[in-house]
Amino acid sequence: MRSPRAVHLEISSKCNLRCHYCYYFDNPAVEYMNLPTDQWLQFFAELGSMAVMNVSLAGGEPFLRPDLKDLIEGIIQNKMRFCILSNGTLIDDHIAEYIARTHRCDYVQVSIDGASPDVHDSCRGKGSFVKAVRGIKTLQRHDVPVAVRVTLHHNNVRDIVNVASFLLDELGISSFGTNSAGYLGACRKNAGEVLLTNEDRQIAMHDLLNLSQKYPGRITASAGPLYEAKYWREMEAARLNHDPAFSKGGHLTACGCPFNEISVRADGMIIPCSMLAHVVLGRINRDSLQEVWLNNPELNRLRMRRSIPLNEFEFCRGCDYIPYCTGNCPGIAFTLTDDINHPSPDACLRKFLAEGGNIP
Amino acid sequence: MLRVEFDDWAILFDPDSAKAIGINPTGVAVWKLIDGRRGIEDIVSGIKEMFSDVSISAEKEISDFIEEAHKNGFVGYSLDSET
Repeated sequence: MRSPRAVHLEISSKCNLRCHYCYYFDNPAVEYMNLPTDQWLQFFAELGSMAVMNVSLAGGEPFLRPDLKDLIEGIIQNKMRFCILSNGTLIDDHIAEYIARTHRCDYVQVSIDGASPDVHDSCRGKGSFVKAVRGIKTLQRHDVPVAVRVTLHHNNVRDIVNVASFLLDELGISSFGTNSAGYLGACRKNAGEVLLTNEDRQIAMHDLLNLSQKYPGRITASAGPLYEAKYWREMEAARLNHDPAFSKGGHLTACGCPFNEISVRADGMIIPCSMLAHVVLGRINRDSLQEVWLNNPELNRLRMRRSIPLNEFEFCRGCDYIPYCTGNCPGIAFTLTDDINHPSPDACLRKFLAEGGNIP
Repeated sequence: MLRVEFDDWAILFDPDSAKAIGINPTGVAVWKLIDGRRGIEDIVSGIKEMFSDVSISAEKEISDFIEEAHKNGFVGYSLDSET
């Protein structure tokens, strides 16, 4: 691919919340500063010249930027579509109406962690649930497509059934995505409070599989307990049947991002993705994004990751699941092992079973 | 908006509707000849100049491609002022 199809932009280094598991903050490799409007607009012109199709606006909290409309105008003028990832607490009628009028917004994603203030606010801060739900309803009132992300952690995993009913039945959200708190950012210092235990994981997998049947097609996951439950079932079935290796199995193939998209930090540094914020590939408006995309050696090394066989790792020695395993997220792998080119211990099926877990 | 993916294959993308269609190298060549002034016959002639061994069904295929692009909102037709 000659240019990224999508670019993830951390347009704000600030947030009005301090969620206990936030991957964004407390990263010693990152300088938390905001770029002025004109720097982003200049970059959007470059994205437009490269025919980038979509940008996602994230942070931090994008709605904290007073120039958000100016940035969106720049995106529109450069023939792109956008989505916004938000905590939902700052969305009012004025901005929702503006977003709707652009006809270029794929969705605004709001994070919801519980079906009640007690659960949601436990990791996100007092009053955040009411404001987030108000934000969702404001977006709905203006016909802005709403997506919801539910991040599972120790304090909400037993509420997932209620969360699903609240989002899908009561609020009428068409679907929501799930993942789990990962050992990144603020989560590192709050790990004991927020990370899922094996028992939590078991509960989450069981409940999410049941909910997936109750609400077919309306609960999605590309990581976390629901994804693990489905994929680990496939791996176990393949192992028992002595099936040949999965097409992407046996190597560090999990990360597809470097082939389709790229990210930019709030300070303008170009990075592979937000999970690898320390891997600086260049700087916007100084380095050609085309050149970075095609020729940056770090990015190309990340692309070559998929040629690394799992059986080379001491961690994987003797594992029967190697032919079916993809090694999972390099960002989590790095935070746990200091090595991007290592399978992630966090999403290891053999480790999960050895610690007493069961495949649902 | 034309987005070349790799080699000469491309995506035609309409950011307003979010519609996207994949087009092959010939389609890319046709797209680049659509300039608001050329008619279909001019475009066919242009393709014949660019490629050797153009099939006799080229005019129909090009018309079909343009019609498909029109159906998806990527092009419009204008009447010749002399007609």
